[in-house]
Amino acid sequence: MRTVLHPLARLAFFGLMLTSSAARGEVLVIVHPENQVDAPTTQQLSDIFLGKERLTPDGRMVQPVDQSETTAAFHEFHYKVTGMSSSRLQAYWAKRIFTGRGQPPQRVDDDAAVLEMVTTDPTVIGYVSDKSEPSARKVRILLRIP
Amino acid sequence: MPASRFRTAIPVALAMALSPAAQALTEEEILRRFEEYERRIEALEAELRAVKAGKTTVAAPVATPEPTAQSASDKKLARLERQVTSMQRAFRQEEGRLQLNGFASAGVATSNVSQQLNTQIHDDWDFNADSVFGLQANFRVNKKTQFVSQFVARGVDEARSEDEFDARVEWAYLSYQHRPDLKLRAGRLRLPIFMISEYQEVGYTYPWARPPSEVYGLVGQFTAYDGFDVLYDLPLRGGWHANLQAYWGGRASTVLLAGSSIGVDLDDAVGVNVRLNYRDLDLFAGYNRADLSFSTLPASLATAEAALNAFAGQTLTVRKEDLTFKALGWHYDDGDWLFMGEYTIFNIDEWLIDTEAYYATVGHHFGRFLPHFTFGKLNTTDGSNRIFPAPVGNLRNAPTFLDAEQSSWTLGLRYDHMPGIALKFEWQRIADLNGTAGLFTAPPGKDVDVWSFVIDTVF
Repeated sequence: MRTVLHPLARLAFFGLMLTSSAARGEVLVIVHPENQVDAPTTQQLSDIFLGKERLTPDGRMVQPVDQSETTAAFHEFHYKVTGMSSSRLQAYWAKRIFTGRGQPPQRVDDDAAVLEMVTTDPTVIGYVSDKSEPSARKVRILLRIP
Repeated sequence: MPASRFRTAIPVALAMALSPAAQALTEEEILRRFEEYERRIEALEAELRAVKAGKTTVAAPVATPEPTAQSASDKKLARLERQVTSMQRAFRQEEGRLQLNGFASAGVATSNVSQQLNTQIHDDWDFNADSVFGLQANFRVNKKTQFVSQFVARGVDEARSEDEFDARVEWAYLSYQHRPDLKLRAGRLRLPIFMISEYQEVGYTYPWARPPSEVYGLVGQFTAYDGFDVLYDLPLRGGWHANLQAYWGGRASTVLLAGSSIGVDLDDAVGVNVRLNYRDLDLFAGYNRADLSFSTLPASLATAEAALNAFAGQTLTVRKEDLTFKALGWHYDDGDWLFMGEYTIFNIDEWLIDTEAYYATVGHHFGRFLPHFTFGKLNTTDGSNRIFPAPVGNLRNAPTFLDAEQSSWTLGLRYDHMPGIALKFEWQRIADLNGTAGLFTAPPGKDVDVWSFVIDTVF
């Protein structure tokens, strides 16, 4: 019997393949160059991306921007920071969405889209793969997660 | 009309009045606004480029540029850059103004007895017990205010068992984020009685085919109320988070008790609960109380009432009762192990049943597979209040009138096919009924096996 994969399923499968086969690289956590926020710990970063914290440790409002599930950076980041698989993350957010306790961070397509948001909005905190090599003039690298 | 009912009607009316505003923003309107924003951003960017180009061409040939002209063009540049940034932010905000989310479950369940579990599952294929569809719209009115509505259509509407897939509004409220740590909500909200009460229909969020019947079978029927709540994040340190929720409200609804449909009004329902979180650990403690009045009594209870009055030689009524729910819950999931459980106590005045119920679940993740085991137990705790002579005592063929006892063992497997879609298979053995009906419509008289298969999605 021939099985036809739904395009979304194919994307998800592709995403999984990326994390399992590609060599794990660094994830760079970035903010606007003018944002003087202190570098958070991975636990604080996890709290920010899971909507448990709306402020950074030094009391600044931040707006996390996540990446699409299809990117390698997404799987790297969540493996290392929130410790959640896509499915658990989805269940986590379903609890919050359907009880009116929060919406997940906006998800953008790729590193380039994160860079664009970080460079134009000083409140945004995002992450990119180390392959994107952002210039220090355009963004401030808060944290390098090996 | 009771004063409290009138007071709770106000936020609902407010919320309803606002919903046309949310609906008025049609797709075309949103698209038109996006195009407008895009056009304006492009125009600003073009202007910015022109000023930048002008600045370099002017600055290069002039050895000592005139300071006033230089600073004026710098100012203009900075102003334009700010405008572009704020336009882009406005664009993004507009884009995220209306959020639609949904959940759906399709399930089939069967058992080896004709007596129905949760007034639904019995020895025939049942496609309604675990089937549900929900759609939620979040509309951001402004930076701090949101309007949220959620429609839920259940395969079996427990309260009105003859209507299938009748959509009901379970949430419709205005929410006001007063401070980052303080949110006020008014309108129709979900009763947060137990740990997962507020999302008990979103199957994707838990491992089982349905929340454990021992704890959620009876209480799960009290779904929404009309009133207010306050959500407050307590400031804690060291990675701990705490959220305090307090509510007040009431609503008329219909529940099934002992297999009969009863009209009940909840008035002055108040409750407070606290949720503690530390990394993968969540703890829950809740206290709720309400005035419960019966608007309709089923025949069995009416008979019981009449018989009781004859027996006691005085007027005993079940028209207005004081009821309380208390619960403690825990949930731990580190991606390998899952542990969760709840211990609950339900009390109601006089001779209606008080219960004690709990469940505990353990599971282990193997990639996308989550095999899990649950033990659940329910028993009535005030049997001595209900030792009545015939005919009352014989009404439900139980040792004492309305007694209910049961234990269950559930072995289940959840398979996360892909993010947003989970498949579940479950086998449940229900025993220790001790001659009572437990959560069945009538005493099954033997141990019961229940098989369930469910597909859960969120989108």
